[in-house]
Amino acid sequence: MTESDSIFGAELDRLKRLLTVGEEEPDDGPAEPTPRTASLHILTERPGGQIGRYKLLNILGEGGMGIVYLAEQEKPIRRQVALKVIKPGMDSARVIARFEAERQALALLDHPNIAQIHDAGTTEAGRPYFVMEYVKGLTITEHCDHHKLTIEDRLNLFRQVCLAVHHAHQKGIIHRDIKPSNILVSTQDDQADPKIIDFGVAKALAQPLTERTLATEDSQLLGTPEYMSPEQADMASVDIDTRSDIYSLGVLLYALLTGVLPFDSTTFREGGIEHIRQVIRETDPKTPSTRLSSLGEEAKKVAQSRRIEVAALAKCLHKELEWIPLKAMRKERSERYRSASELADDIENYLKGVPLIAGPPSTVYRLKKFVRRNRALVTGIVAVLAVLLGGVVVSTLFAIGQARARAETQLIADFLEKDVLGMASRAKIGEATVSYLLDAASKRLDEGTFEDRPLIEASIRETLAWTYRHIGEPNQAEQYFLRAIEIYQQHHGEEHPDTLRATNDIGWVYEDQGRYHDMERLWTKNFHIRQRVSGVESQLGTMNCLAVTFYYLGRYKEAESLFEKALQLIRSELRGEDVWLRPWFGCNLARVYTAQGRYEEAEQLFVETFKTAEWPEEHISAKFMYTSFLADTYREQGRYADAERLFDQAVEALRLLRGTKHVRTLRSTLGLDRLYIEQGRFSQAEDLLGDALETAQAQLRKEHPITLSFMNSLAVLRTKQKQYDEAERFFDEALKGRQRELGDDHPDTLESKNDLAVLYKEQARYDEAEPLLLEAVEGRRLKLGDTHPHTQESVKTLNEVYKAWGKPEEAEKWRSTLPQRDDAEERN
Amino acid sequence: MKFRDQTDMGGTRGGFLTTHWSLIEDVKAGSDKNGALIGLLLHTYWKPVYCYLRHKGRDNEQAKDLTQDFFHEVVLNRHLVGRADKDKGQFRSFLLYALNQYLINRDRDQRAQKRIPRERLASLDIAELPDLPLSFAQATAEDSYHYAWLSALLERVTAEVKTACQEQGMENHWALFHERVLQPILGNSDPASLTQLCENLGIGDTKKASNMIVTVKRRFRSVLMELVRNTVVSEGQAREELEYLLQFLPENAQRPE
Repeated sequence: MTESDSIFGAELDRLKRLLTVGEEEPDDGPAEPTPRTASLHILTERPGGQIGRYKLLNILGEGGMGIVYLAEQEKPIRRQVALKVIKPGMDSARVIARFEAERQALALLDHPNIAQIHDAGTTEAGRPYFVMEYVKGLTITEHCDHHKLTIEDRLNLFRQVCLAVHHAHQKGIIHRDIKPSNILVSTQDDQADPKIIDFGVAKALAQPLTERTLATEDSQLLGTPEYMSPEQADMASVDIDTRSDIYSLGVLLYALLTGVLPFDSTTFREGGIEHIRQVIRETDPKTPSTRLSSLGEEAKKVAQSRRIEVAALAKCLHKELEWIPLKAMRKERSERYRSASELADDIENYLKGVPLIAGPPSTVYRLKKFVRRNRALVTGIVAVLAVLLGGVVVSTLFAIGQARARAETQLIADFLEKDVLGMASRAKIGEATVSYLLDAASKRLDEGTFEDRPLIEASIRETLAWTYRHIGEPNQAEQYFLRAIEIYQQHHGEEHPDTLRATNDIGWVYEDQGRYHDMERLWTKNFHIRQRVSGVESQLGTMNCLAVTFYYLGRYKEAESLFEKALQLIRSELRGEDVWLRPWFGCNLARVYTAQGRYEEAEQLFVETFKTAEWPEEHISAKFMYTSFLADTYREQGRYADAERLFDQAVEALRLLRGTKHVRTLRSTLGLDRLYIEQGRFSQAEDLLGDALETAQAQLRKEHPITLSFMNSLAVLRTKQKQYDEAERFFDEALKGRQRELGDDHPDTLESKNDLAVLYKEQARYDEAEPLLLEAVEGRRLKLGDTHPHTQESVKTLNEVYKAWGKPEEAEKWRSTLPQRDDAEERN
Repeated sequence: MKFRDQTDMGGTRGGFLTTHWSLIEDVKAGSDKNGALIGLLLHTYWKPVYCYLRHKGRDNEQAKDLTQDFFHEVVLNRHLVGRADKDKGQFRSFLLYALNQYLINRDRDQRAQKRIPRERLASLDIAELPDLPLSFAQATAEDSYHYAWLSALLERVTAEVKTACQEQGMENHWALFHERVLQPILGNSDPASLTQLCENLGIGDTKKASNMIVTVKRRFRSVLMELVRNTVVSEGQAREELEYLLQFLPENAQRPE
């Protein structure tokens, strides 16, 4: 018997004949008359039978329309082959067309990594079949895991696949269903040999007839969702090209590297096809390193099957390798690799250690995405730039009257379009980076384009300054602000709103530069001028500035009272137009609570603020920055799982939005390293800190408070690792830096003193630990209060030092100031 | 099309001895085991529903999802079941009616989706999608539904008869029936020569072979009637149902000579 008695697809009259089978069957007597023609071939098309000159051995696989047999050929050579034949009843015109397409596609291909077609024909029953190379092996992912292939071996294997796909592309054939089960790897003498086997949905570029058959008659979604490109998922699009395969290759590479798919299959498929399509079209996959870190225990297995430690794998992914699959998987086809061979080249680049074609997702990429999502709003290059440069131009201009604003907007738009973009060739626009545009703009400005319109120049310089700050170039930003302020002062005088605004805004650059004392000087002065010039009304922004400054200076009580006042002002409906600032005030105040050890209040305020906050698109990175501060609050409470989840979210988002080197990204990772250290995850802490410190030193400056914080954390890590000499050296640097930069009684400085004392304690250098701890305790009592967990921590350490030192009376004296013994222990 | 004898949910054939109406009554009475029922219904009737949805313009994935959701809805939403008019007697009509109700409600109220458990109780593993004949390219969705209903029914009959033959050591019976009746009717091949078949199968004479074929034909008939009966309330309605299936799409109907 054939294995299948398919009813579906049979014409209706035939079904009706079946319905009447046996209807009027006489009790005995013969069946229907015996027809003359006779054939037995249907019986022979099964294992043990024969098709053409091939002996069918068993069934290898069965798809919707065909069956693949393992068959044996005897002449001219004896070999095993795979024979694919259309199933009985499946030989509709559509199926035959598709089947024929696959056969033709395969026949065009001649590549060692593509299963070769040997023969084709029709069965006696008239159904087409073809015979191809029989590949005995595992799917590529199984093969890699089974043999525990290293990342390098995997890449080499993958590269061969890319080249094979490229070969097909050169012959004008798109595979359209690249996935592990279609790539088998056979091994001979330890030599792994990948082969692409299934061209079942392949599309021949130059065969319009076939194309029509596939694209229009068949409205099924072809391909496998997890590996499907956005344009494939978008069924409206018949415009599938070779870059679809590049996308699928990207997914495959992702899976080979991380052991998981870019989108978690269960959640991915949960919401049905529309959801799948939406995810494929709109959601950026998590980076492989992030995905890996979210795997938990599973990550260990993944790493083991790659003969590598989890941390090392994460690092190698994070450091460049993951850019490759991410570039291959870009939503916008033009941003993917241009060909499969380019992808193969980049794999080779990585293996050789030379710079990659792929880069980290840039700000431009993110902005383009924004533009794409808001295409209706954003038309034309000028508008793109308006978005690029933030809402600043617009909001600036609103302040100076509608008519003039329009005129000036036009001027600025013209400038950007003609002078800036005009300098880039049309072709280059797509690749222009923000900094390229900024540099072009700056150059034109310096050439005196606006000599006769200095105020417009100032306004553009302000915009550029903000943009430089946005992309993490505070020093450039400072220069632009300074020049803008200068122009305003010259033409408007000190107290003009434009001058005040620009002077005020430069303070945010100082924040990025870690110049907290300069912030204080600047904003205090501004505060007084504004008070004199315009009364209380416009103080809300300045209050925020000052309060933020107090926070950075460790003057938490002052910060708290200012933020609270500001929040009150906002809540009173008088301040309607400033309502959008509310999330900033809320989160900043919560941050102050955290600093004061009031974690529950902080959490409550964070959560409440997040719930009601609406972050404008251009300020979305603020949301993630504050998310990381909430995460840090959780860390302080020892709620590590909650903390890590939020940290991952925040840091990942900021990396994408602002890049790894941006001060905001660095600031947000500050608590994450501590989280790792506190949990004893030293190798992760090591990786994170190594990168962060290096970046901070290069990107910010050596004595930037953020740099010093990383330095301090590294010292703590070394203490825990018992690498005391190095720890001491780092502490020395951190402590001295903090003393110079922030002052001797700043909470950060006190932290360094405390932590250094812990190091001394570990080394039994009690006489050195004691004075430091006394200073830390005293300072923290004053700054943070007696009950602050950090104060308690110092007291506890002091108590331990005395005990170990053989001074029980001193120890007892300090122990008694601890509230609850078990409380203190809990924090340890 | 390969017939799957088992469902994940354990919807064994034994469960089919009760009629679908009694299943539905169980649902009304609240005594159903949701998962098993859904699995059973889904397993048996997904194809007509799926074909209907495809002809209503849903794409493959949408249709698969909707099919699955629909069966959850039929079983879980007692209100829907409650409104089914048992007096009309055909499970086929009920299912179509319920499907239309479901689509209307769903279109009107997208929240309907929320009623369906996130983790589906029974999943639909559709590897092979049903094919419709080319003559159905222009057919209405209802026609497709009925066609698929009929095909699914016949596929089931075929599978049951085949299994029964095999279980009773009547492989030769089946082979004869298959080659002489089933395949030729389906248009897959011309009837094999009886003499040749006898020779191949080691059957003494063609007369005996003919009788063997008749035996299977009868069995085919009785299994068909049994399954049709399962979908209606009374014996009389079973005949009506069969009549209907034979008559739908008059322009296509070609009564056998």
